[in-house]
Amino acid sequence: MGNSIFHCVTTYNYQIVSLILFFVGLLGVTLSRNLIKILISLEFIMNAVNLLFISFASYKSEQAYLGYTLVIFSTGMSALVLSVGIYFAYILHKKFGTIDVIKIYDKYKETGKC
Amino acid sequence: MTLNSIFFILFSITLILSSVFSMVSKQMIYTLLWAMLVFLMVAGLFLLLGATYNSMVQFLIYVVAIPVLIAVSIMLINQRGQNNQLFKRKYSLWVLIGIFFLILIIGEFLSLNNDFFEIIRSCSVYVNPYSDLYSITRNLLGVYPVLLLEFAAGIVLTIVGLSYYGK
Repeated sequence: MGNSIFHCVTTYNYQIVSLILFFVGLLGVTLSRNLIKILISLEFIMNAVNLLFISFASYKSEQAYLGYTLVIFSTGMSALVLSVGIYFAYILHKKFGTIDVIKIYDKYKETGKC
Repeated sequence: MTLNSIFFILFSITLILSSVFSMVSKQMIYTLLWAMLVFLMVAGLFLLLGATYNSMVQFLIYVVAIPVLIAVSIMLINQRGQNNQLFKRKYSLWVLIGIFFLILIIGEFLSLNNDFFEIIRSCSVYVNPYSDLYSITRNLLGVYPVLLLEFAAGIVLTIVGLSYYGK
């Protein structure tokens, strides 16, 4: 590569960091059993996408504020998703007594209703 | 080595390490604390990219508001003793496949050599003059000192409260 990261930080470096954060979030969503941990991993994915948007928006200085505005809406939406998900987790905990997704599924299979 | 590069490397390494620690920690409170660090580092990267307003929004929502929400939900659910581990036996194969694809995709990104990626590599990030780190610090300390104190006090209170609950 022509430009070293120590010499000049490019949008490419931000995209690599965003990709790694996205995959850590994806692994957290697929591998964790705790419902709140899954929601936090979802927030990691949202943050990775926001970082990607901001890095692309910073590439063109004239249209930078378009991407910035989009990310503000995205941040609000992800906070909304998290709050609704936590409410669902609380409801599931009241119903089944656990927030372990495997146990919830087993209990759902036993009773046949949610 | 510029100041921007130093901060970028610091923020990105802290972000990646704390996201991994957040996923592998056993107690939910520590997961939340590491996640707070991840969100804080993302806010720092926004600041480096020149999106100062987005950085402040990220800070207020993800580092101050959402941890309080999650902490209250953890207190309500009170899931001590429940299983907080990752899947170990059944899904370890999927972890390996995921890591393999991650390495593959990163290698693909590194080895691509066409014009589009060459342009992306060669362009430096646009930073507007008002988002310089020195000017932001000067504005925060000079014009709005109360805001900085509020942020610091909020973070300290949240961390102290969560640590007390974790014990």
